[in-house]
Amino acid sequence: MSGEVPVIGICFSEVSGVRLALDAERVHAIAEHAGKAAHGAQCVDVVEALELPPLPGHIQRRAVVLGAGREAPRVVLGERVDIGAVAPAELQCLPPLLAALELRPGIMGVIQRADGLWLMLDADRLLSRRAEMVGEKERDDG
Amino acid sequence: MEEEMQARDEGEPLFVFQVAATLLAVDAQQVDAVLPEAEMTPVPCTPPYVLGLVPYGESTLPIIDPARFLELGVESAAPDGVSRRVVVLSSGALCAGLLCERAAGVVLVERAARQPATVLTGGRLGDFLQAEFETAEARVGLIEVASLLDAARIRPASTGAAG
Repeated sequence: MSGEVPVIGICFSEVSGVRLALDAERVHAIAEHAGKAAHGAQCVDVVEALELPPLPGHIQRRAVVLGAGREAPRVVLGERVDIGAVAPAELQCLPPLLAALELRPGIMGVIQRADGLWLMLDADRLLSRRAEMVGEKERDDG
Repeated sequence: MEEEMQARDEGEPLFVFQVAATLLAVDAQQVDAVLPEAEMTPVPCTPPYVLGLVPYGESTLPIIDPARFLELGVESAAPDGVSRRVVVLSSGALCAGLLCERAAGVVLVERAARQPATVLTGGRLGDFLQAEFETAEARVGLIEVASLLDAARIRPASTGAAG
């Protein structure tokens, strides 16, 4: 018995006053510039996906890149992205009253830390929702 | 049996609290706790009546603004310097905290003292009122907790919708 406690790597970022977290296992890199325009449906901005108040334009936002290569999908977060670790017990399910948020927009749980609660996002669900929205817009545009 | 008879004579325990200017009550057995107002973590894609989440023991608790949810026309607000209270209600798997101006405590109300809900009105209050009763202070509306929490539950189709 080594006595080691397993931990989950997490990317933390506060966006428009909402504390968000993503599984760091899925993150290949953190991009200094969000690079949103170049990636279309493969890029999801949490401000749009979660209907958050927009951030001031002068703020340089960062994105987490979910894979290798220029075309890898990415999730645009806030000005800062911090890497941390939590014990599995700190990651909790959403309370039943809010459980539907797991399906849409993709809030899969809550991390309870000493500095407060962080909402754990499902990056794949955010991306699939983004792809749906792009598809809907293309259909509407004809 | 004798205890049961005595309890029936004394009335049923109901927990009374104030939302905006309205006094409401719930079955006291469905009140898990009364907490002081605490900092809430906002949750995106929820209707405006969901104020946020707070830590609650080993888990988290969604906080609801009952004045907004019941569409009473005013937002909950305590007088300056007075801390609001969170009344934690549960029914089956559903649990939520109702942010209210004041937690007045438990009163014993005989079944015979319950009257049909005809006086208290406003917004969606009527959807959840089981009965009304008089206290020395004011008329109180008895709320059905199960239907209130079920109606407040976020459904996939309602995410992002105004509540």
